[in-house]
Amino acid sequence: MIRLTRTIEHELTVKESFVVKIVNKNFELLEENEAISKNNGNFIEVITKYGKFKFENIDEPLSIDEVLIIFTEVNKCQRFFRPSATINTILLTEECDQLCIMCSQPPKNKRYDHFDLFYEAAMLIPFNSTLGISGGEPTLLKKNLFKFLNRVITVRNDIRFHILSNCQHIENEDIKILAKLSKNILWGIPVYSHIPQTHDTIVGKKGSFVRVMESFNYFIQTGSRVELRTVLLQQNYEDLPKLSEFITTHLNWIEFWAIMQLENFGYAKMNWDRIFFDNSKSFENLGYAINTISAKRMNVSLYNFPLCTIPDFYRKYAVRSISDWKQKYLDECTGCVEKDYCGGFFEWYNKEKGYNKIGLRKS
Amino acid sequence: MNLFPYQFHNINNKKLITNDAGEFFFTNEKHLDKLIKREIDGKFTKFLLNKGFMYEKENDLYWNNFKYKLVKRKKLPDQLSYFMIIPTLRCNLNCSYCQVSRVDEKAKNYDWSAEDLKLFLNFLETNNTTRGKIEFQGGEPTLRLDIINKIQHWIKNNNLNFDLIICTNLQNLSNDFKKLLENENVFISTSIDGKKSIHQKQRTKDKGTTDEFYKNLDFVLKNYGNDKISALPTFTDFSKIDETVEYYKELGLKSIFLRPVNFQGFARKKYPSSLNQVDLWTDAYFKSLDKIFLNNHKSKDRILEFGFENILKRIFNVGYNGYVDLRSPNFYAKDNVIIDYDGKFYPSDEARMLTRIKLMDFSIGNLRDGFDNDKLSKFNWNSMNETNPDCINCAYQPYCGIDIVDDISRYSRADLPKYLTSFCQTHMKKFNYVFDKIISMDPVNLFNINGHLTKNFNYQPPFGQIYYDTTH
Repeated sequence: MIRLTRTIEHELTVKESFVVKIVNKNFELLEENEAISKNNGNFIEVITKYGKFKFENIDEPLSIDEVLIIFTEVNKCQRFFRPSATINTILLTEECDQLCIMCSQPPKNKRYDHFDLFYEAAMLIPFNSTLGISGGEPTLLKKNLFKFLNRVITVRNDIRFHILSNCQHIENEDIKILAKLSKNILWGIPVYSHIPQTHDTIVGKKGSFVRVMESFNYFIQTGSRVELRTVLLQQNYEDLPKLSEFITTHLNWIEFWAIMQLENFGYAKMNWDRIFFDNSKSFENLGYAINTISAKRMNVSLYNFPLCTIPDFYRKYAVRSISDWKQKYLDECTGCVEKDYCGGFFEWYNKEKGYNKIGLRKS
Repeated sequence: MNLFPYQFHNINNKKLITNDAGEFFFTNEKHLDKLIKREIDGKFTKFLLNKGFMYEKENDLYWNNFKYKLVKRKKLPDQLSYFMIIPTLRCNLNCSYCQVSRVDEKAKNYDWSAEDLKLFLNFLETNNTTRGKIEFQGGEPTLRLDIINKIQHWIKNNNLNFDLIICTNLQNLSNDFKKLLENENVFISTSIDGKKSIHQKQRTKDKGTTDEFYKNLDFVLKNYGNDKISALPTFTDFSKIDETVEYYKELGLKSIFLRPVNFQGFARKKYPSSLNQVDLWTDAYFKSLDKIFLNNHKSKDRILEFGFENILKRIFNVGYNGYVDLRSPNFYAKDNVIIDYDGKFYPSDEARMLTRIKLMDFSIGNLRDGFDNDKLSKFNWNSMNETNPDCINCAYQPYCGIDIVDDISRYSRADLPKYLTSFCQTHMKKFNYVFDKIISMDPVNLFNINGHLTKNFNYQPPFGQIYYDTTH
């Protein structure tokens, strides 16, 4: 596991928060938004134009081109962009207007809407990078969020965004900006069933399904790119075949469909026994859904599924989707020949309550 | 609730209903009648909405997704990406059915000049194509390996993403040719008409030449694997299809394209019966397909048939329109173009042959002067089944194609009513056959439908409920 926000000790001469990019340069040549990183035994030391700060040297050291936001007043440093990460995500707010039964990050009244700092940090990331934006529900801050995205894309059209949203707040008035941003944003939108009531029950909000479909109608008209996301649950396993038919008939324009296994954190951990569906025991409806989608030449992927829980033929649909900072392998994985292609398990995976059948081939 | 426009068709007493977005379902006489009279009850409405046949109000999600599917089905790529070129018309074989018209290996003035090659590379550059395919046809293109090599170098030097497909008779596998094949982006397409006796009769004529071919084929399969090579048979004797299918499987080939000798080029004079062989061919073809399906189901040694796969994909895959023999609109020189040995552009390989036998001049420009847009536009206005009066009410129109070159080649005119053409008659039968397989819900058929669509042979119907009556 890699901690993305670190407590720092500092002797900085500024009070305001600021951003830096780690570079390989002499101190004399350093620009205002650049910094040098040094490993000093138990500490990682960062030298900036405004003085030094340090934090404990555990997990991954800083790398060249890594972008940091330093919140001077609260003695924190956020590892905003790590070049080696599979994806770097901005957590915008922990507020949400839905209460999903498997939420790994239950809503809180906390916002991190430092859009100006995010903008400055985004200016420093490498060419053609992708930034994730997640929550809570990011579109609760829709107005400022769109302003931020527009501002970034106007200067850095190479940057792509991957925004996870429950799609409850897109309106007709957003059409113009959606069209402008469409090439740069991939929207990750959850749909849990083709039956409105089932979807609504899972997300804990009446009318949610209908509202998602309304937003989809704005997306389709603006050429927006959508990744449809369905978390596999006991509650929706039966619906997968019909849901796949719904997608191939009415949502042909989506970029792809991600079927996701559960992350046992937050509410998911609390509700685990009544929501976790063990696909190592039964894969039939998943196979049916994948077959329907690929017969129509649409794209489907399996996220967070360890390869050994998937029947042979369908393993090619699995994606290494667990972010590196919260991913692990088990003892059973030692010597597995497919380990290099496998996304492994969540850091907080509980074997006792997990899959019935894991562990693959040893040769 | 409102209905999108639909068409219907009778297949074995079941009514097939389709719409322009390519959605379909089956029902009985009674419900077709209700549909026409707009006597649609709540249950039927729900079914029609689910199947993509209805919308609630204009500009809703159903409406916009219908529009999306429609556009995706019709829209052709904006850029030329498939170039079929003929660096020489000379050939070292003289096949009985030769399609393309060929000249003797020693003939003069039937090759690309250095100037032609330069013009072609300029042409690629000005079209700004960075990825695609270049297919080398002939004649026998390996007689001009130097040209193929120069193009390969040019691609590598400019960091472009092109596959090269060399359509060769595999009579001469020189060291230079082998060296070229080492490249990952170079592939071979060849003709294997069947077992030695058939191949020799139709193509190689004598034993020595025949043995040489099979030796080279063996070398390619052993050294580069069966992904490197695609093979096509040509059938003049329809009783030999099954035997050839089995032979393809023995060779380890995973796909075969069953098609009759084509009524074009020089073949026209030698096989006059091929003018109208719709029934003869389709009967033999369907029988062989049925046999392939049974064998695929019985044993793990399976083979796919491209014609069947192509029709299935036209039905199920929105936006599958890369195959020029079955698509509409079938605009010419939009995503592909043929460039002959003399630098002339043609809309298709068949058009090139017809020009050569002087039926009609199909050339649409050349490397020096560019495209003849007036002529192109005339062709293109006749290459839309969407506007053809014989096609607009056909239930297969969204999946079918249009091929005026084929029509002209057979009937010397493009305006024969479509239902009288071989193209229409053959495809009616093929679509009937395929939709009959779909509605059968027979395990063997489902197994093969899935196999051809996804390469995953299994029994799950990939289309949900497709038959509607009140018992549902």
